[in-house]
Amino acid sequence: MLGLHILLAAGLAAFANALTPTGLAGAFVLVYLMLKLGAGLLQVRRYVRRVELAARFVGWFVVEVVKASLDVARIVTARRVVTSPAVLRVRLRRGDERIATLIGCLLTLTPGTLALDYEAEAGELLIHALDTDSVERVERAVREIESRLLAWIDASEPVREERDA
Amino acid sequence: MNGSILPWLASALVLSGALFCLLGAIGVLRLPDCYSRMHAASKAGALGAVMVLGGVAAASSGEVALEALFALLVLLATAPLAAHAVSRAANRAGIRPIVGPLGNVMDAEHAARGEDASRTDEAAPSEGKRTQVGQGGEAPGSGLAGDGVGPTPR
Repeated sequence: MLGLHILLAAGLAAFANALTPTGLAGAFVLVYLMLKLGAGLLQVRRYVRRVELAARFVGWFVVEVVKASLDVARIVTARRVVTSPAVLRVRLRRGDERIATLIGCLLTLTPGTLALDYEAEAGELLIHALDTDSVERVERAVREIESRLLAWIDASEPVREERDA
Repeated sequence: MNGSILPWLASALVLSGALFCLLGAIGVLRLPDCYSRMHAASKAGALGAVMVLGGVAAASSGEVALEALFALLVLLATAPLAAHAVSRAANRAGIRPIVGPLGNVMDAEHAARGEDASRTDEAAPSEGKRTQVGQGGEAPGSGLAGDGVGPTPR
């Protein structure tokens, strides 16, 4: 469906003689709006929902990456570098190694956390926190990434949640 | 109008990207241990490189935008993996992270394992009193090893 979406966007951009990155992005949004309007008719409600969740996730993640960099900047430009690092263990809600890999990568780019290791048997992620005074804060950061990512991934698999529950 | 905005945008992106790269490099220099340094290298360094790539795409008026986008995706995928690989290698090599009051959960586990081992040694019949010190007993910041701080799974 994504391929068809991109193809339609490229076609629309070419038709409007605007086959540039900005034109393509505009056409992609336009095709998305058309799909959203006709979601019920074209039976693409799930795909539209997935695109929305993906856009929301990407937007949130970009903000988090900028926040993480500003956080590092604040620490390293201080007169004295004062941090209170910690190594913690957080159990992931879903033990799938592919999802754990994704979460580990995303976690490393978000503020204050770095994925050290993953223990597949226990389903636990070993995390190095740069400057934290509470375990809950780190756990909350992991849970937020996890819930957003799983919401996006599960958007096209409604049966999955029932199986997990 | 596009022509007047794009050069400004490109300059702003390249300059701020370079600034973030510099901050990442300062972090690598100033932070105390390998693990903390990886935070600076992976976060500020990656964002800096992404901004420079965005600046390149804007400076070429979108001509190399596709190439920049691919480079950006590769960078976003490899930067955290590289940081993870370095910190995992350090962890496997036995380099202890410098930790604050929350401590190191691995040290706590090593200490607990060490205590268990010494208890079984004491329980077993032996000719003299033996003491076995846990692997993480002397690690910095592991003072809270037995305070219940550590495993947080729910």
